[in-house]
Amino acid sequence: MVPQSPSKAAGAAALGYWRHHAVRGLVFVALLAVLALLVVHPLGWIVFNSLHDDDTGRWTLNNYGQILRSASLIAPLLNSLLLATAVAVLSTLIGVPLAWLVARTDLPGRGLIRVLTLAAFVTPSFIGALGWILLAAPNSGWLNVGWRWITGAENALLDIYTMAGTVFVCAIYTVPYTFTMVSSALEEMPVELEDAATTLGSGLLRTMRSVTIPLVMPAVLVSFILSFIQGMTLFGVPAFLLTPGGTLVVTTKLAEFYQLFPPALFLSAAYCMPLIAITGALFYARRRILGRRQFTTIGGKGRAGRRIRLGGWRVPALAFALIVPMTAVILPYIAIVLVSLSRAWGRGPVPSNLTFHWYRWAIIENGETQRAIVNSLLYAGLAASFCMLIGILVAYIVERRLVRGASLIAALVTIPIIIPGIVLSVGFFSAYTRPPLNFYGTATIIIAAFVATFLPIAYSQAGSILKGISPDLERAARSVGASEGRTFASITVPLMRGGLVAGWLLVFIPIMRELSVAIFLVSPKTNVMTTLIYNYKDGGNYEAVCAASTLLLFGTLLVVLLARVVAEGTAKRRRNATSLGAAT
Amino acid sequence: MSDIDIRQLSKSYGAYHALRSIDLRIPNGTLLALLGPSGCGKSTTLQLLAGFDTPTGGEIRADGEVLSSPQRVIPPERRGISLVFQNYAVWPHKTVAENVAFGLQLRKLPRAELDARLARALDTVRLGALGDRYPFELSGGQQQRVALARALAVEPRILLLDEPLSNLDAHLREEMRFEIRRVHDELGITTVYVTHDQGEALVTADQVAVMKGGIVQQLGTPEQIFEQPANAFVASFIGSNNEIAGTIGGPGSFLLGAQPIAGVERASGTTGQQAVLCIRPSRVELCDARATGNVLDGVVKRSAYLGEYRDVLIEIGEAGTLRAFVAPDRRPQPGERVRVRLPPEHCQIFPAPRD
Repeated sequence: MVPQSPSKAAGAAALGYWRHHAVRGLVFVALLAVLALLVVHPLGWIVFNSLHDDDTGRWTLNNYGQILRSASLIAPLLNSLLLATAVAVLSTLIGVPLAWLVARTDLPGRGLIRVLTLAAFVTPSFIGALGWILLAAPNSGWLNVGWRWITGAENALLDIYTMAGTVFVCAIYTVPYTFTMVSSALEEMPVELEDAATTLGSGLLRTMRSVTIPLVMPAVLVSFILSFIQGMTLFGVPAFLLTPGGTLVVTTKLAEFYQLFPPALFLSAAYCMPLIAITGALFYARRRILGRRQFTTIGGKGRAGRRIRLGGWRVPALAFALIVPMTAVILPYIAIVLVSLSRAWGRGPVPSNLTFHWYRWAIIENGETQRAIVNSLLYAGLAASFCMLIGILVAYIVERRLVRGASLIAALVTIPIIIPGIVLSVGFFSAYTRPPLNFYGTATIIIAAFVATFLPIAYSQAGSILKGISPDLERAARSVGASEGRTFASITVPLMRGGLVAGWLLVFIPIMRELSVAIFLVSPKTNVMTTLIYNYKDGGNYEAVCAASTLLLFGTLLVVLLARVVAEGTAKRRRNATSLGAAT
Repeated sequence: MSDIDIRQLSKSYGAYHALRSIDLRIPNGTLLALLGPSGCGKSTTLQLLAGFDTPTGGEIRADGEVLSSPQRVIPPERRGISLVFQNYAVWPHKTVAENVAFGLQLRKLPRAELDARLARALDTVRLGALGDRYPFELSGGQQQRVALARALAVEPRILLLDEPLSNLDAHLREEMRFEIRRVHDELGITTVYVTHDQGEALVTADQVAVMKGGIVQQLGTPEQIFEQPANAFVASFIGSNNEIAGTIGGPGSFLLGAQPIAGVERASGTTGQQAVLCIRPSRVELCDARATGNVLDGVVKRSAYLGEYRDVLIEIGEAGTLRAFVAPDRRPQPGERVRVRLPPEHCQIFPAPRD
């Protein structure tokens, strides 16, 4: 039964030993190199530039000094803080009650509200801002036109080009984060915890105060923090709504530095630092909160049929719950679709004004939009695939503790989570638009920036999929003679497949709608849909912008549906298969 | 097939010593059971044997070739050692046949030979008819057979079994013990079987290594382990056991208070040293009141009928209690005064370890 003589076996085993370690080392070094290029190098340039003088090239703190001395540089910082605080407060005030209504009460239409709130999640917020320009621009906005027509008033009802308007639009697209986190905390809370309080004689309000609220508090705090970060780092919405009025926030100020000639690279690098510091500190706070109190999510019995009756409050509650679906999805979508079908949107949505011209123009006649559609799909597809590939490899190495430096690469893939997209864009611009690594105007630089931005999502997705696969399944393969690489390819990857499609989508969708990362890196040839829409909007051709936006929205939706169908097909074929592979 | 030589093998995780310099020689074709409570080091030994972990000290050799040492561990796939897991670890995305054939495909065998070996492996575990099923369509016992077939198909020189039956229900477990022994008798592969179940170890193994605290307490045949335990731990861990505390009264003599009891001295001790006398309940005899020599008087505290025998608990004064398994037709009543005889050849005297 011994296939090899002992000495031959010993030789083969020794060879295997070296090959095994060589392969491991090679993969590890390659990953380190890739991550150094994607993360360390661009961020290193930001730090380096921020400490150097633009003209002389010497080390200096002058860039920081300039920021502190100049009121025109301080004001955007304060505006950003104001915007972020207001967005966080508003989305908590809307999102938390909304989550409670949907998760715990007999509110009518809960399912629909949930779906529409999640639709707001996948809508790029700058397209939402575009919709709201159509609805509430002071002169031409349809809501204002309607208001004047009905009341005969002279003045506009709403002005979206204000800080209040910006806060509102940012908030309605941030609510889905709060909603998702808080409602899942409410749903995962074991019903027994509340029942226990009730059996001790505690009433509904007392139970909420003593049990329910303390248990969802971590979720509320974390979503407040994430909303704040959103408010700090969003670029598209303030660019559309605040820049025209001359009000700048940090992100739009950064964009302004790049519109100078030559771009103020060194000052802008220093200007990124407060942003990184704030997001870094907030993510640290989030980690602390989640790390200390993870007792909320221990599974309990379902609470089907145990809903709180709203009684007479049903109608007001429904009106409240419809705020986000109406303002974030229904109204702006209607406006955008109608304008995209209009010859000239100022004439209003009347039959004589309807046309498919802009779609024909965007898809068939105009080379720019054609190229952007292809670019968007191609770049997002490639970037999502690379991102998942790196995420899986890193997660595998970390989860299975293959090499000693695993925590280092885990840290490297996680860093971009604290780097706002616009900052990463600055970093890539600094690092890769000069010799010897000049990729300016190429697809490479854009795809690489997308990959870097979404590494943390890909890594955490891959990590959670891997946690569900027992390492014994892999060890079994090793023990019958499969190498580490072969085991990974034949056992691990097939077992991950369903999760991989979902993970890939979770990266693909945000890349499709990502604007700020690409904004400094695109060239006319490498425009993607988002940057093209951004540029067209500056040109004021709203009909074309809306047609392109509609194509982006529905294109993304189509890919999502397609991937779902594929994923479900695989899932059906293997039915219970993966549940067997779950870790025990 | 090959012999295994484990020398001074140690494994520490920080300050915790999972294995403390164990030595084991496993001759070619032997089925060795590593038996012990959880945390005794048996699973660590298996992980080291399989090559999933690096020892802190010592080495593992197979046929003289060093497989593991602190400096160098041959990766699992290069050892010719197959492992069967406690949770089966049958790949859910492959059919039974695909699971078993995987290792053969890696070896790039000609189609005909692959098919023949696949069929042989499936037949060995009596799964020939289920090749096209997916694992989720199989029972736990069948999945365990798949895992076994998969491990055997590659014709390993060593087979490792990690608590292979602990996830099965009691009935199936009993059946699978004999099954594993049958397969071993058929193929004769050197096998290391990790278990915490003494019944499994006694039924399946040629040799049993009883482990505790990272140390091999005793290595021997099932009979030796049971009849001549090396220490009080082994005596109590394997089967039922009585432990009576006392002192050494001299060579082959144990003093329970002032009363001498003759027995087999299992380690040399000095007179007057603290000691433990171990005797199996099945060796304790109820005798009539006139019997003399190695007898103790006591009072029946409890008598339980267990069908095949009667479990009698007897209070023997200050020394505590003694269990005796007696023939079921004897009916000692609680409160009844009885005399028990402890046959000297079954009394094992262990000097208490000097601290």
